[in-house]
Parts: sequence; C-alpha cells; structure tokens
Amino acid sequence: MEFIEYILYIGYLLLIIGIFGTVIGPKVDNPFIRMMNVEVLTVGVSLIFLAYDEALALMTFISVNAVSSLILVRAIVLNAKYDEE
Amino acid sequence: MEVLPLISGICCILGGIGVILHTNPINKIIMFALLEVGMIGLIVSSYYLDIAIISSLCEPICTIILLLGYLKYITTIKKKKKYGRDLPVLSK
Repeated sequence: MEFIEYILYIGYLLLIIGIFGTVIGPKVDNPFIRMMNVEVLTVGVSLIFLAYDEALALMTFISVNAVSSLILVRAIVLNAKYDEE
Repeated sequence: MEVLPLISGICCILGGIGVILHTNPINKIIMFALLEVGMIGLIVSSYYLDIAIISSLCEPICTIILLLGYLKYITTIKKKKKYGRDLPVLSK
C-alpha cells in the first residue's frame, strides 16, 4: 500500500464512523453531543483533501472550522436558554 | 512504511472511535484532541509544514471553545430559577 492510499483509506474510515455516529450514535438527542460527533467528519474530509494534494483548500477548511464551531456552540447555548424561558 | 504515519493513523482511528463511543462530553473533548494530534502527524509526514502551522494554531482554539461552551451549557441547564417570572398559583 502506498502512502497516499493509506491516508485516503483512513479518511474514508473516519467518514463512515462519523456518519453512523452522527445519525445513530449513543445519547445523540443532546445537541452538544451531536455537534461533537460532526467533528469526526470534518477530520475525515481534511484527510481526503490531504490525499488529493489540495493544500489551499485544506488550509481554508481547517481555519474556517474553528470559527464555525464557535458559532454553533453559541447557538446551542442560546437555544437551551430560550427553551427554559 | 515509516513510523510517524503509522502511529498517526492509529491515533486517528482510536480518536474517531473514542469520540463516538464516549457519552460524557469532557471525555469526548479529550478524545477529540487525540484525533487532532493524529491529523497533524499525517500532515507533517507528507511535508506540508505550512499547513501544519495553521492547524496547530487553529485546533487548540477549537478545543478551548468547545470546553468553555460545554461549561456554559451545563450551567444553563442546571440553573434553577429561584425567582420565577410567573406567579406560583398560575404556573400550573
């Protein structure tokens, strides 16, 4: 097995684990746990970008993920606060 | 095959399974750090050192945001309202 195929298969495996974990994972009715499971998917997509030598796309994807997790966590906390009122 | 991509691949797979199977979010955040370490190792082993700089800077920020957000989420859920807005007679 070559090195590129090795990275590509690890990316595919993380994608499959992330998909089934997000849809039918344990205790997934809590929105925070469901958002944590989506992070596995993003690492899988990043490894596939790495295997296809898309350096600029990989850099952009990693740096946008930090911003998007900030917005999603803020939205989940606000949703829990509005449900109590 | 070299040693670094082998260990990084094992870190990635164990971290991915661990994030899904743990149910306490603190344990999930710890296993997510393991997953990120595996990804940075795979990036370094394919000699993209500039992207390794970006990912090493951005992913601890993501971990800290998740940790602070989880603590705020827990305090929002567990907080008991001492002085409710509606009257106790009408609250049924």
